[in-house]
Amino acid sequence: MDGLALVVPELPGLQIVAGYHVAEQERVGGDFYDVIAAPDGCALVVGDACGKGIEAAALAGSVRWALGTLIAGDWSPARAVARLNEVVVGAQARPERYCTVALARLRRRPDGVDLEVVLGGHPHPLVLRVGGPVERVGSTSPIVGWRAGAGYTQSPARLATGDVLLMFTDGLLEVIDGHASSDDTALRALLEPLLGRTARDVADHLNRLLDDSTLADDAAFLVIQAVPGAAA
Amino acid sequence: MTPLSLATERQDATLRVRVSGELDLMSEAELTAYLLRAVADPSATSVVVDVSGVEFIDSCGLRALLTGREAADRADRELLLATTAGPVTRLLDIAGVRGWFRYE
Repeated sequence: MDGLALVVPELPGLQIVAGYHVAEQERVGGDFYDVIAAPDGCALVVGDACGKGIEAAALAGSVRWALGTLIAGDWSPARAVARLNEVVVGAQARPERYCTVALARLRRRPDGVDLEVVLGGHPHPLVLRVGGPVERVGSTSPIVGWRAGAGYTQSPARLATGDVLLMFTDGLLEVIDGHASSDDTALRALLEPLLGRTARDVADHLNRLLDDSTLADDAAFLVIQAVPGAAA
Repeated sequence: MTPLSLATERQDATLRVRVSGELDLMSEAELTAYLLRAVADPSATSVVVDVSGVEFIDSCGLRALLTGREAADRADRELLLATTAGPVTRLLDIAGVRGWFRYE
């Protein structure tokens, strides 16, 4: 776990809580997350390197750091993931490894935050609107690292003050819905009673659930909420 | 847990590989080896991978299908997926790779 310990930066106007759970038989995992501060907000990263153990953890770490170098200036999530894809493809003689990633650019606004979200083969993040519903955000593009020239597109979303964004890996879906993973129906139902609660409440709820389960797969998540406070 | 089960039928120059059970880290290597043998079969020009009996698939299972697809390209063979709506099509959609495969 040492290599994965991560300090989530304190950012004005935002509450950000991370959760990370490694599968029962493994000491290192292929899931990763990151929060990178930027002048007007931050970058939010959640991803999953295919495979298990050392092989997956090595790819996860490389991808996390490579993405970090792409978050600078007037960066765009779609351009960053497109570049990441070329880097991971170029590092392999033929395709053997890939990862999935959800990357969001978050910018603070006086009454909430603006998001731009790209999904490289990754499950849709969910937004818990204060008064409902639970909505999917982001648009789907291909997995990262398998095919050169794959196209990546991002899509916008807004969080009003109090809305909660949940970015997660599919390990969370597996825990909630047994083996019917890659279907978020059960997760969305589980989140319904948490509408209007804090990011901390949502993270605590998910952590309890994951702590009480035998994990066949890693699970990672980020919970983000726009809270009253300093705005850009 | 339903173990992976693999079977092949031959119809003229087409090999039909029926995959059922769970496609995950535990079964990835077995399916990958099976598909690589199928696309290398000199008497077959196309391989149909019928995944309609797959009950669970994760990113490792997807990698096996993608690896088979790449190997078929290199061997100048056609690899087609036969699917019904279910775990495989759901994962292909989330992974954004539905268009990377051809379908029977």
